[in-house]
Amino acid sequence: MVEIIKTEGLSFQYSLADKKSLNNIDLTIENGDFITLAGSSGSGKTTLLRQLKSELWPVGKREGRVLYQGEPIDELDARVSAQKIGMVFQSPDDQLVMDNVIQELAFSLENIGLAPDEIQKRIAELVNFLNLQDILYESVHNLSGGQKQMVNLAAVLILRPQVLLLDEPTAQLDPIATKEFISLLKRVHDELGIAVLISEHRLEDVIPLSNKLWLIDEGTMQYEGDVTGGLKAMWASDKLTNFIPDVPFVFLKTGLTDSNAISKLPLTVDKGKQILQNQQIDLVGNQAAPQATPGEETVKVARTSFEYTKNGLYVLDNLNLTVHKNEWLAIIGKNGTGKTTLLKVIMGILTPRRGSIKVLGKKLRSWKQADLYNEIGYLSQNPADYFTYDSIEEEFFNRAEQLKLDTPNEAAEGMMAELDLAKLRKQNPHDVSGGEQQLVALGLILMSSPRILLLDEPTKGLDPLRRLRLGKLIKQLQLDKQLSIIMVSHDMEFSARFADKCALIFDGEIVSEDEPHKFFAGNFFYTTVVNRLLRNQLPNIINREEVSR
Amino acid sequence: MDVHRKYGTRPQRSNGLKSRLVFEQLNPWVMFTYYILTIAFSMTFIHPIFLGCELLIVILLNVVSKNGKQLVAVLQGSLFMMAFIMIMNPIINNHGTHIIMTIGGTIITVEAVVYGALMALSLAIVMVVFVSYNKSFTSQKFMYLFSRISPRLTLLTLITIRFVPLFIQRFKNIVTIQATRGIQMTSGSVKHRAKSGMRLLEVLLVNSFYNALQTADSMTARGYASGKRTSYERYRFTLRDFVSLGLLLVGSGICFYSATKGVGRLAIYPTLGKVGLSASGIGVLGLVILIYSFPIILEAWEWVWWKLSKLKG
Amino acid sequence: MKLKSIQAHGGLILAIIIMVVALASILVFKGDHYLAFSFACLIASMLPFYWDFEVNQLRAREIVFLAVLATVAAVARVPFAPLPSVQPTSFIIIVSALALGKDSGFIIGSTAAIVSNLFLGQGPWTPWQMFCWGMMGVTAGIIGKYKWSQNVKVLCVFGFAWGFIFGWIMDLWYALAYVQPLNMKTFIAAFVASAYFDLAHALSNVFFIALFYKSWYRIIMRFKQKYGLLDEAEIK
Repeated sequence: MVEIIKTEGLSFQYSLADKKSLNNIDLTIENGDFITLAGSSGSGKTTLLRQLKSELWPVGKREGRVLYQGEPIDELDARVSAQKIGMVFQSPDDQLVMDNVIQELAFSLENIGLAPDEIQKRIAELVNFLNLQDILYESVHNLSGGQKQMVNLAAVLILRPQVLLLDEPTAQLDPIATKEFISLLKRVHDELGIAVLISEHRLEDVIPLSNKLWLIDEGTMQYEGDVTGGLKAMWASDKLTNFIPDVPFVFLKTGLTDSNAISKLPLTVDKGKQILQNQQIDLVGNQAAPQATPGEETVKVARTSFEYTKNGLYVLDNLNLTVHKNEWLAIIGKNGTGKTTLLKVIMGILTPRRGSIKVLGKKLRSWKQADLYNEIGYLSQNPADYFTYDSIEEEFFNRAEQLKLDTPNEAAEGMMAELDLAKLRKQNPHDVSGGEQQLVALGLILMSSPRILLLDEPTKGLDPLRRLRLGKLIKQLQLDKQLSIIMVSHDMEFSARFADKCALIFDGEIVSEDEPHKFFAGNFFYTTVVNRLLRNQLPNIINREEVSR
Repeated sequence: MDVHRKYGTRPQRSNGLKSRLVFEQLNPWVMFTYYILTIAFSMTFIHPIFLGCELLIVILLNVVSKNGKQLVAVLQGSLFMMAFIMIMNPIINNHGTHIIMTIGGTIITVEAVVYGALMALSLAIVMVVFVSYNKSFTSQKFMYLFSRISPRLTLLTLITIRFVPLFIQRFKNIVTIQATRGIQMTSGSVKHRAKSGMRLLEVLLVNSFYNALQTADSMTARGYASGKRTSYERYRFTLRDFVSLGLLLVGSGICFYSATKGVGRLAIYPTLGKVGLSASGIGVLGLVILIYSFPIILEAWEWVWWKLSKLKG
Repeated sequence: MKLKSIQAHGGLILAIIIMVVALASILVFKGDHYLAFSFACLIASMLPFYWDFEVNQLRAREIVFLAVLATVAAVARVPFAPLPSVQPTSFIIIVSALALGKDSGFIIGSTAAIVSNLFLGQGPWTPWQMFCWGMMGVTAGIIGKYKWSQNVKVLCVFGFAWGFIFGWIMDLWYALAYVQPLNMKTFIAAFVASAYFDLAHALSNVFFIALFYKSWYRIIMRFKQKYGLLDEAEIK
């Protein structure tokens, strides 16, 4: 194998940090590699990827060497570096520089000084390979998140890279767009022979394609090698256990690998099912008991329809929905089925065309806006939209003042302590990680002691560990404060584990609604991985915690 | 049943390749020349027949390209300025021989009133030309013109154009979220609303600064500032463009030359001249009408061609 | 060496040439081509700034930084559309220029004008708006060098004055084009006609500067540091 990039004893410390972000790292990317880099948020994944592209080196102290084909990477000509080492980032929106797709593609080539004819030719070629002609002249603003990320990938591919570095490219995408993006990446790797290094939180889709798995924690490489070995190493580590995808997790948890001598862990539902069938393994399911006992009705949406414009399309169409005290309702469904619209209608931000909505027994129209917002808390997908001050503690103190609480300072301190934010209090809320930002926003919402909580895709972009923590925290809050929670999400695993009730929204209506086990057992396509794996023997089992030997 | 149809919530795709008008498929330089010429003519030929014809043609052009709504809005919007010009000219200008009346020592003459009316007409033409310009001359075409003259500024402007819809979307989200925290622009005194508005913009600024770091990285990663840039041009000069540009330039050359000889300009001061046109005046008028109707002629020819080809087929 | 100095001052040289040609042609043709002359002045005054911008190679972060400010200044007109007398764009341009200097101030101001008109509609006023907001940025950038500019009261006076100057320059273009003869009466009439709007613009500048100058200035300076764009002088 030919090595492309190699690091030797690489350490890195940011200029204002008090400890190293990367510690003595020796790695090699070879021709034909498809490498998954896993680790929790803040473990150093992004820092490591940036070290492999010298234009993006952050300011700080660097030790050791990074070599590209045997030469120090920072001595590489800027033009060559731009072309040979491609990098795709996380945010579909922020990476786009130009107003429409063809300009975005041309931008890369203009930068490296290609002649207009050559640019024309390369665009033509790439458009055929990626089937982009229908969106070629489209304004990037009109594209879906998945399409935007595909354009971002295309704008790098057009430079004909030798290796692609991808920094959590699917973190902001829904599950279907994620699968499409990953399968495109597989084509790029298989058909063009471009080496891939991708950092990811959710390993389910990328791991089956990878020939190597790298694990990083607190700036130190924990493991580097084949996938099965990597998964076993993760199983042994407290922190990374949660990162293991469901299928291999079930096999590791039930000890099947050791007792049945499975040399290669199954990574897909198909492989998993085959092994279970061939070896006639029977697993035991312990269906989790419901944790909450719902009380009286808090939100009742009846026969509600909504359209954005006169004679427009009904985004909500005769929708009925009831939520009770101390009940967590998860609404799942594809993008564009009206999930977020529904939350906005319940909050009174959008006015429905028809129907009635009652909140805490009172018609929505008769609520004063300020009072309503104290009773309903809304956690959006972008926690940064909540922040108006320079430090987290200021956010809390000012929020307490604004709510005219009796003891504002105590209330603010109490909330920060409850969500374990006290250690971050002096920091700017924009500078903390995505998961922490979400906690800050949640805390600000909880300050008004709402009785109803609306959550919009709360797990988007979170790593599995933080996702689990957030779930447990919200569950605890629900039980302690007897909250009604309405969550819209793509995340079936999360819904299956924490919600008291799941509902499927389609075509502006709720088409099925039930307790999670019954809900998912009744579905065939739209169900959790564990349910799909064990459907034949344990049809009522929906999450991995419920499986044992 | 077509279930997808119901949720086609995305806006209609605007396919930049296909334009409604033939004129819009020409090279931006040709289009730009046309707009410059129309505006220049409206300021050169200060004559009621010329200006009247010009106004009718540009209105027709906007009707053909289906901008009726914007046309009405713009004409309404410029009424104030037109009225101002029509009133101001007679008041401050007391040249001329035909006196209508005297108001408080100010002499109002026929000449000044006519001049004011012609100027208002001229302004109306410019306004209507810009309605068509705003519809047909997309930002991409505008940027194409300037990418040669000022590549870096063009790049900055293009990035800004890309940011606009993104920031507006982001701003809408911020408005929703901050409303739940009591910051809103929908009610209260003007002072209160202005203050809330600026607070919301402040959140937008901070969020955008954070997010745009990735934009900069994405540019750097793709070789921005790695050396001299080239410019990819989507618009080529075709034979049709050369012919159109040539005709426009030659025709307008003749018109401007005649204008310096006083053809097509109504004598106003000191005494209002005759409105009637001389033979050369009629000739120049014909040329001006042809140049003004250039997009409409192209469109008409397209229509005829298709009719004919259908007849044959 | 010689080539370099031509490159550095090319904008200024070109501007002077344009002015001389314009003046000469006015004397030669003797006509009242005030509009053409004013246009020449407009271009000549903006050219040196654009020239400098073209000559200096900007890093990606610098260009994006300017684009963010220009975009926020341009889109600020959208939420304030229901309050026509409140003009937020000028405030944003003034603060940005105070923090970043006259060259960046000019670029932000003139770009905000082009871009905001891309969605509000271009017209014969576009070049004049580019000039006005560009020069607002330049003047703010110049006074930003002095310590006294950090005094909010001084800035309020500055913003108030610009509210009127802006309106007056915007009045000029159609007075020049469509009203004859040009004399003091014409200008005064035009100024009176727009006095209400100019006063509103001036007052909203004062209002925003008084309330928001400190926080916006701090934000811009903080991100200047975060983007690694501080000049050496400021690091000391």
